[in-house]
Amino acid sequence: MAKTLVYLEAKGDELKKISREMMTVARMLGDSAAGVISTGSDAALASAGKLGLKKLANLAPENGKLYAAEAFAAELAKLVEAEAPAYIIFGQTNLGRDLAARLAATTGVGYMSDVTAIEPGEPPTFVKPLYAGKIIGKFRFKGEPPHILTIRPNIFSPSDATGAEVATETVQPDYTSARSVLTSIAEKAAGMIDLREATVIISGGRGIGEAANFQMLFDFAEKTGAAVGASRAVVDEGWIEHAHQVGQTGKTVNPTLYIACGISGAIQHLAGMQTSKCIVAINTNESAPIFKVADYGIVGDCKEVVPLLLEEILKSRG
Amino acid sequence: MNIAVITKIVPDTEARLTLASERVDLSSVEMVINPFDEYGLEEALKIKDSDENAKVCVLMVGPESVRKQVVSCLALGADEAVVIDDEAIDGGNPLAVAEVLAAEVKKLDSTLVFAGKQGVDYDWGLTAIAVAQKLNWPHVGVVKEFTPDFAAGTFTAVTEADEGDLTFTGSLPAVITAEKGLNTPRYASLKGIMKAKKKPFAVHKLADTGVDATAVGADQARLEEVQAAHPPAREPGRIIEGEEVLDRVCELVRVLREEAKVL
Repeated sequence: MAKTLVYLEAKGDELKKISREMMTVARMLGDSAAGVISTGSDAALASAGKLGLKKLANLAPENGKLYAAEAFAAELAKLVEAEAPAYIIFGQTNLGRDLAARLAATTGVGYMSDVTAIEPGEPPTFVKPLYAGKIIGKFRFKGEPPHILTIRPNIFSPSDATGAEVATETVQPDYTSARSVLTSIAEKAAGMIDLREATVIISGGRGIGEAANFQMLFDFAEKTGAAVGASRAVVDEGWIEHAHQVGQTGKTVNPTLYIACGISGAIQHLAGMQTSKCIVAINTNESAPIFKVADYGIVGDCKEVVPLLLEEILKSRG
Repeated sequence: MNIAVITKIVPDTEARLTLASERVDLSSVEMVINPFDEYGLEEALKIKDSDENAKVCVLMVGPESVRKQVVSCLALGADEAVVIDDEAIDGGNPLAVAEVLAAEVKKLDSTLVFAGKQGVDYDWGLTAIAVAQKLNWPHVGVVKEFTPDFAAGTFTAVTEADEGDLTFTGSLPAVITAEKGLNTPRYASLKGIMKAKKKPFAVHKLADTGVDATAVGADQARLEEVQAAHPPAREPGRIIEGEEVLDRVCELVRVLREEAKVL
């Protein structure tokens, strides 16, 4: 079996869920894993230290310098040299994908992004959605390791394995040589759940009638802990920000429950949400394509259905 | 000041894709400029709007048959286009494509390179970042707000992440990859379409770029595609019936709890 190197991520004092998902993948691909993280939090560092890693390095942030692709890739390249891992595993998150790509370009090694399944074998086959999910592609690495992969969040089950806490080596990235540096993070307002991390998504399209009716979906989201999605049509109309768009030029999501409100179901939209565990469609047009992928459909007006649905869900939760 | 815009062609996002011999069959698919690259192009054109000395060059590795799509970029306001068409380039390997593009960017003496955050085909998100690495430039990816200060030679860029909005500061020259929402791309004017036909349009061979064929050939690829398939179709669902809307909603909540177990 082989060694792996895992680029863990933390948010504040907590490890992100993707970090434990990466540990699951590390155990599928190798028998010993070294970890790298970048955090200013002792609590997050302690949690990372207990994941069962062989070693852990912290790329320490400096005051007002939180991430720099050039400097981080240079440090990772050194660690790769020292550890000789077969696989270097990242999360397909904003910074994970950024660093993975810069490292791939720095080292020239094999690179595969957004992995959603791994089929064992010698060598293993890596699966990723292409064309935002219209096609499923299977790939194998060629040539000598290491190989870089980024894994899609919310696909692999998070590892709950623990080990004795390992000592952390603090590494000081050379921020002065980096010519592009992350200097600040404006944290999301409380209650705003990221679409890619959401368990439940309620999504709106033209069929909700007008921009103001998104308030009804935000109300639903706030009271049930869901996130709000949108179709491309309404984003292009300016009803809601692009951050909410689901589909080929928006986000690909895979929640447990996806509620499509007034969305007809264009192919580029379906590509982005068809891996949801359960899809509910609410639409006045009973021949809308969305009903073909939905597990349950209600033919009706969202303005009427959504408030009732909210009420009944809250009642059922007691 | 020169600005390069890296682009590629991809199947129209509305296209239904078919397979032939376990590969996507693109032979009868409408190909368009990668949608994310349109935001990169628009950002370059915005700079040109405020600086008459700025020149925008569109770069693409691909077959010369993409002329129509590239001319559409010239019609929007880009000044010139260079298409590098050579079978010796492994177009499926982002690192090989980046090697060629970086060589062309060097020749242009550019201050900025814009591209989309990823191609909406294989979604690698690697090519533009690899161009930055090969030029030894910084990059910021998935940018939704970009503010250059050319006098100071610096920029700020904002990207959206699961943590919230991330603000980067950096120095020029730099590679910036665009997220949708960075701007609102313009439409071509009739005048623009007429002028586009007369703008410089070069088709380069690998030899013109100065890149060695051994560096970008198919044997350099570190990944091989084994198979492309359609995702499994979803089982047909059912329409919840009921006299009143409330009846249907109550039944929906019941099945979501008891059958689907998702509430």
